[in-house]
Amino acid sequence: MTAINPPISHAQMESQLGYSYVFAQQAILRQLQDTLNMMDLGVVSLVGDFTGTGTDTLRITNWGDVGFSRVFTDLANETDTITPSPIDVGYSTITVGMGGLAHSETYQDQLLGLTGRGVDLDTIKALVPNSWLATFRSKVCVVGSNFATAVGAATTTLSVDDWLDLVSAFELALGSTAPTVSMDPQQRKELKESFRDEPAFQSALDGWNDMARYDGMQIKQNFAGSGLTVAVTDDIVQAGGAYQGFAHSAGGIGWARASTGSLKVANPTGAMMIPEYGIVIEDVPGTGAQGQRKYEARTWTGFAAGSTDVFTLRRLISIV
Amino acid sequence: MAVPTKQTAAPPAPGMDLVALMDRTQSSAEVDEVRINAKPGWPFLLRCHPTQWEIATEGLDEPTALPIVMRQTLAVGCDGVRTLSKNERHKPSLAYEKAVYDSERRGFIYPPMTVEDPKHIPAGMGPGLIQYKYKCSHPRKGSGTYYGEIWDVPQQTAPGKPQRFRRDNAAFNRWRLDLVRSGIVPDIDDATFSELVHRAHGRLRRAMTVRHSTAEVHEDIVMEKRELVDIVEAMVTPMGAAPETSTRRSLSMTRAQLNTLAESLGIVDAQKLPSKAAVKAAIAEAREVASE
Repeated sequence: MTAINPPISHAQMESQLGYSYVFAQQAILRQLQDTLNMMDLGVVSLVGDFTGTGTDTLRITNWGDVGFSRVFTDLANETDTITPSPIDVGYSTITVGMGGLAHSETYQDQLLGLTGRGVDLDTIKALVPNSWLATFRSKVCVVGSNFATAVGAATTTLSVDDWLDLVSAFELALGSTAPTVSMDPQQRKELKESFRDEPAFQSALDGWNDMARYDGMQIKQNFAGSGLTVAVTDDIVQAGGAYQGFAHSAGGIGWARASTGSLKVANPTGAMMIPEYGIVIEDVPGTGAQGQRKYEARTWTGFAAGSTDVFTLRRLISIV
Repeated sequence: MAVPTKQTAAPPAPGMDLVALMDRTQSSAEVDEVRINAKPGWPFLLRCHPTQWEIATEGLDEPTALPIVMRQTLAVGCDGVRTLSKNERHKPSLAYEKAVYDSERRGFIYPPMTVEDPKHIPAGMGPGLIQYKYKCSHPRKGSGTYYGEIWDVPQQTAPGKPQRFRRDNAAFNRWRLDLVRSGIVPDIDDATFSELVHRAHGRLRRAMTVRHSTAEVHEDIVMEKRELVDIVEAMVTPMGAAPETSTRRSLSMTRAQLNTLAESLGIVDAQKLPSKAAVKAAIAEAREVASE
């Protein structure tokens, strides 16, 4: 027994009959995250489904030298024979790859864990689609970093001149639709600083405000009044001492999946399919023998750049 | 974080670590048992395209046109890299062979993934593999493996901060120059050189036509002029495996294009340039004008 001297104070009582802390009754707070959802941009097109095709590679065909690319031949004489014209055909390919994610939790943790703490296997499992979206984003960034042609330089910071070069590349390639530009947050910072130094911006308060305004959002429409959408993400690949940002029109990067709706898994009662993402999530039978529960998620997706005959594709590079 | 810069060759790791088992790259060098604060990445191959060039000066005797070397990241599911089937484990390169074939079909050239010449290697690093890897961990991207190039030299970094690297462009440029001299990458062609000139010209024109005269604009003009002067100098710099041919081609290009350049730079009449020496003298003059 411990003597509590009057008056009975919290300081004396807490260590005997209370807790040094309890958890606040609110949702668990998640760490800062790169939450860019590339699907929201609408520029990475779903081009096919591998399921039931008999292959791991899809071809996306394109053609040219027809329609707007082919004019009538002048006929000098009313009885001239018209020679048939050739056409161009080509294709790009997408190959499927498989990804996996799993978590596990012991039975003891389930039993002894504090009620309502918010961290358990089911809650984590419910976040698998977010992990898939993050994977989607990083794979799109890899494909963007593989674009053959670049504007900017690996030895300098990003500037308005680079931005204008990028815009010109799309404007000069007639038929290109407005690109979406994906870049590292550092690249956006440098670009904004370069815009701020532009003489035009120094005498236009609206323009300056646009550059000075806090931009926590990861998708910015009409960046600097250019009409282009800028998306920022930490997933931009760094290579050769440079950020490998990239720009492409809608469809310039495509993806394909293997729909999982028809998949017969080992434990159907503990499985969930998300066919449109090519995902299967299942509780793994047999892990109970080790006093634990485990789920595994698998996805079958492929990503690839479109043909440069059809799309304008550019990397936007600047020094790290 | 103190990061050792010494590479120690490690035996290939098992599983889906593509590069560790790759035919072309042989292996990645694993750098000691250190976990750095960096985003996990993927193994890669280096490749260049005959139409992609840039002018570089760092580490070279004079401005020189060099091929742009870019990575082909080998991430499963991206650009033709696939997951191996159960009976393909004996040959992991099957995962990316088709991707490389597609890339070669589009004209890309794959240089060897090793460096031997000390002039191509940053101080403190040994000869061997270009690609090396660290174990890494990132607060928002999880843990995994960071893949770097030998020219990305780790720097002392404050605890908790992302690992910093210094790019040794001098050694990298000398390696690129050697790719051309040794014939692995064919020398730049006239059309590609014209593209470089055209682009530099456009940027200079834009800088010079900005109406407001500010220190930044002046700095911009000087920078763009320097770039143009570098290009002019690169045009008269023989760099290929056959210097005689290269010199003749470069000088003939110079005569054809220096007029426009000279006008932009406000320096010399290109038609009156009788020799390469005279061109070089004009370049020196242009460099002075550009730096004023």
